[in-house]
Amino acid sequence: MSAILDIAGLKIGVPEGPLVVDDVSLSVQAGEVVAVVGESGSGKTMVARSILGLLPPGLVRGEGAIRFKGESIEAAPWKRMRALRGGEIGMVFQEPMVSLNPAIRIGRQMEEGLAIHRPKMGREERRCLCADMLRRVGIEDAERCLMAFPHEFSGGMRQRVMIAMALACRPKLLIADEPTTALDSLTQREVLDLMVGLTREMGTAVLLITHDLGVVARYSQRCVVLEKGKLVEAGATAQIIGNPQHPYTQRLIDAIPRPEPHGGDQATGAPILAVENIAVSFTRRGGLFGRSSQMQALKGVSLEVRPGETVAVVGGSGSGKTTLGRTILQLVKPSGGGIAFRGEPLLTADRAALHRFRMNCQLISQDPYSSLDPRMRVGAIVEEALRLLPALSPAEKQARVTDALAEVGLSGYERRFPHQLSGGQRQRVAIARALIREPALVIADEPISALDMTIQKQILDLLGQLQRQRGFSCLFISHDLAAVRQIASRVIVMQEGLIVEQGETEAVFGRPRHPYTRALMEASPALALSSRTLDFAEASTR
Amino acid sequence: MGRYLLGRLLTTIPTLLLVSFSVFVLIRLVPGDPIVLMLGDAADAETVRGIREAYGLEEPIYVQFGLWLLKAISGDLGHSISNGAAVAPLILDRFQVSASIVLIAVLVAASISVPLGMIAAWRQNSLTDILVVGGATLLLSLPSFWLGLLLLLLFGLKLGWVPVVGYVSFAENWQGALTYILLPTVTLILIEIGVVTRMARASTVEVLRLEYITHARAKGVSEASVLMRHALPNAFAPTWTLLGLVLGNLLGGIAVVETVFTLPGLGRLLVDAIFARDYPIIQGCMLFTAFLYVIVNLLVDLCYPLFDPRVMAE
Amino acid sequence: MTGLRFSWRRANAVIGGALLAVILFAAAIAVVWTPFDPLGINLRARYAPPSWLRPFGADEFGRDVLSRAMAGALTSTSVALLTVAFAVICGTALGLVTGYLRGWTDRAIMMVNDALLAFPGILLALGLMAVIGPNRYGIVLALGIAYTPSVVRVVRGTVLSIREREYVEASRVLGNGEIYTMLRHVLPNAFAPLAVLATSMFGWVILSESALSFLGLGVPPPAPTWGNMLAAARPYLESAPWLGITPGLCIAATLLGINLLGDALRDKLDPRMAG
Repeated sequence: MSAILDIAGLKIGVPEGPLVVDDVSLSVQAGEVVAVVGESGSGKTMVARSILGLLPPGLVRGEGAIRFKGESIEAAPWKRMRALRGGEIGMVFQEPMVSLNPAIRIGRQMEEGLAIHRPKMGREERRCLCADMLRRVGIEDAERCLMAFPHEFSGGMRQRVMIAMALACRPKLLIADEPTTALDSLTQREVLDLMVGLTREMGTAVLLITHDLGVVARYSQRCVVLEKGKLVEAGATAQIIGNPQHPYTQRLIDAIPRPEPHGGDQATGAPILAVENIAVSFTRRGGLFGRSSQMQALKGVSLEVRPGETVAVVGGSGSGKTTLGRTILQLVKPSGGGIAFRGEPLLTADRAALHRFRMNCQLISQDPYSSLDPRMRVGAIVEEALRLLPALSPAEKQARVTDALAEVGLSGYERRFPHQLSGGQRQRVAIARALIREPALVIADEPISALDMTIQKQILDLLGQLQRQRGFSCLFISHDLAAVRQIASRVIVMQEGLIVEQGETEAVFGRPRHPYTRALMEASPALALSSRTLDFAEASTR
Repeated sequence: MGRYLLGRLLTTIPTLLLVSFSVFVLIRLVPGDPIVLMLGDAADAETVRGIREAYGLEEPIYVQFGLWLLKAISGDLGHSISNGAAVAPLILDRFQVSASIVLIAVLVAASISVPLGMIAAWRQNSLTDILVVGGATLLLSLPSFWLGLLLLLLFGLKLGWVPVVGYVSFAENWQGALTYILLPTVTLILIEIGVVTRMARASTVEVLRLEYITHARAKGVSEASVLMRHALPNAFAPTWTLLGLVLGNLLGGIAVVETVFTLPGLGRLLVDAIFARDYPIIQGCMLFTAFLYVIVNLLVDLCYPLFDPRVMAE
Repeated sequence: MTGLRFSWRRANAVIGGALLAVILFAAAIAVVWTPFDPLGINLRARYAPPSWLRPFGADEFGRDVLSRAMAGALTSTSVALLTVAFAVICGTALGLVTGYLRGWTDRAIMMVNDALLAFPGILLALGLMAVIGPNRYGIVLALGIAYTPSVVRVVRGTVLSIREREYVEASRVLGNGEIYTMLRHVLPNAFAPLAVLATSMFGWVILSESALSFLGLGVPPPAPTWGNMLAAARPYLESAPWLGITPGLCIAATLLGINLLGDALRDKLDPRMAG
């Protein structure tokens, strides 16, 4: 069996500067799916881009050989490289929203590649082929799609178009760079199934770049693990996932959330938060004369959170889970229903009651890059939470800030600015800020989804540990079922503004009753993996 | 599609109303009775009162404004105080001079600047780029009236290639007219090249680093095609908007260049009227230029979807 | 890629800073000292060409051109500083209020603002000068009013985008009041675009003021400004070209300095645009 792609000793770096990719070798056989796994900064995207000579300005390829079907292409002349690009090697990019030219109709963008690589093909034939490809990626109204502009489609549809475009020339190799990271989990599953299915039919080999071990396990036969530009482990996927050798790979596998036994500490007592039949609708104004339309984000949602327990709210994008959190925090005005905190109704509350609620309920939000004021130092950010606490001297405040930062593992970071911290460190600052006032309830809105896998685990562990020490209640909003299964004792599943299922975590995950819950679970590769690795682990201990 | 165009058209109406109201109010702010100002100091109290009534000046201000606006729309901008000539035809006459200079300047400057800026962006940080951007910034920093004077000194006085003072209209003698507007046009072209080149370069730099450009390259598209087909429409959109603003600003500030080259244009008419305190002409010139500016920007916006179809979706 | 990377930001900052420093230094010196009295008529020195004694020559009244250019630098830069301060203070206040209140107040203010923006800046200034009449404070007022609407627009836009950021939301969740949040989190983060705008505005005002003075509608003679010096030099363009070259060179140097410095500032504050 001859290799379609063979990379040996590849180095990429800043000219006369540090290396971004250091001595990476890998090969892809015909018809095979090979995954390149790594966290941010691992250089996996640069490996993919260097194959077609598409490195961003400032980076250059150093030593190393790249062979395509036995032909050395690392120094291919310009003309040959252009024939390879798109013709023999197709590429799918990460961000479907920005990878299609907004000013050109989809049909013209698709035909462009064919016109270059199949010059003999007639106009009509090209058009038919494009329409046919669109149908094969599941776009029914292909003729209309060809005439449309990219902005008329959702992210998932655009990624289908990208795949159709890349496969239209029947390349021998498809490079897919995080093709579904920007999509929600249900769409992610559909698009990946489609891509892998189509390439199998066409006999196209795939180099799949991803950070998601679940995706690796589900779709690839072999995989390569990169850490900080260095190759740490390579081999058959089942082997690596089941029995990782390198400590870094072990850490990665270990970072997959595992279900933990809950129920020993069954939460009792009066609910600290009671949401009753809450409804929220947004008005969309349609320009000067457009009729304004109502969008129902929440259509009557009720839930309770008891002292000390963690309740998870899961759902795909558009399920209303984020709106729910924001409504509880009084950032969105509901159009109906009621919210009570410790028995006190909030929607009709006076200023003092609202202030008591604010003092006792805090938020940890999704994006640690935008949740911290870029012009304030870490110490000031955390201390700001103490501003409204009366009767604390500056020295006492200082001491509490020091303690809070120590608790999240950031001792001595007071003088730093947010941009000097990594994503995980910023999320730790956000946690310190949320917890320094010792709130009774914390709402965590996708607190880990913007972070790398190993960091996700750290943050999740930190939250769990702090919760055990402090005993606050937590409403954990997430699309990540594996994480939810680890941290929450009860789960609420939302779809299109309604609760479709709720119950004890293990009961819901063990016997999902609603079809939407089942679809979510099937679409979550990490969840499947977390039970599988458990099996592996059990098997190895026996 | 229709909704975007219609919406943009309709938002123009309140703007035009407010613009005319501002012009109307501005002249009322002049200290003193407008009729006394209009008639000069010689007028006696009886005549003033008669005219006040005739002009409807005893009515409330919004009624006065309405009457004035109705007349302005029907093309009656009043009469000059100094020589009694009708203001509207005077403005149109002078406008031809200014318009020919400004239009030619913007067209020529755009057709030189856009390719220049795109090439500079494509070869970012190369010697070409440094020279283009450096040159453009230098041109941008020259005041038009000084550049005009220097050109006049060199080509008019020292070399004697073009006449220094005077003007004939295109209708009388078009070759002669060309020699008179040559230097002012070149002055404006040079300065606008500075503005437009920098804009074209900046927006091309932005566009070239976007993912769809890499995607186009990954399809095997040639560099020329990447620039012309994929970058140009997207990079041209902001430049297109800038061209509308440039055109309007040139019209608003044309007075200085017309002063340097002693051309009888719209700007000069306004400045002379300010010196002569000829308020109907001041009012007319300001109203005309501001309307023109609003309408140019409206046309620019109406054509914008050609370069960026996304605006239609909103 | 060449090995040596050209840094636009450094080159721009150094050249622009040097040019502006020279002009501002000259203006500062002119407060206390000029080589000759900028208004002092000396009939024996009429049309004196550049010499060691008078490096830029003398004008039709024998006034020293260097001294007048220095005094002009003082006038132009102080008018520009006052104007920019006026526009920035009024514009920021209005922009904050509209961006913060939204609703009807916002729509009303923005409607008037858009109407004022519908005038080319220099045209509005011309119209206001017609009403106010040419004098030093009139020009500050006229240009200030003409340039305030663009500040309002930028500040409002920035405020609207910043108030949706998550750290502003975080401040609200902490229980902080709206006004505290506005002053502590929104305003400081709106500073960057405002600084870029104020820098380029300084250049526009220098140019507009010289243009108005050139037309005779700015600072009235005999007080020297670069604009009215150029206007006075027009009749002697051929016989005494130094009269026209010096003030023009001053304006161009100031504008170049500001444009370069503005580019450097933009690159620093908005890393996306860095070359």
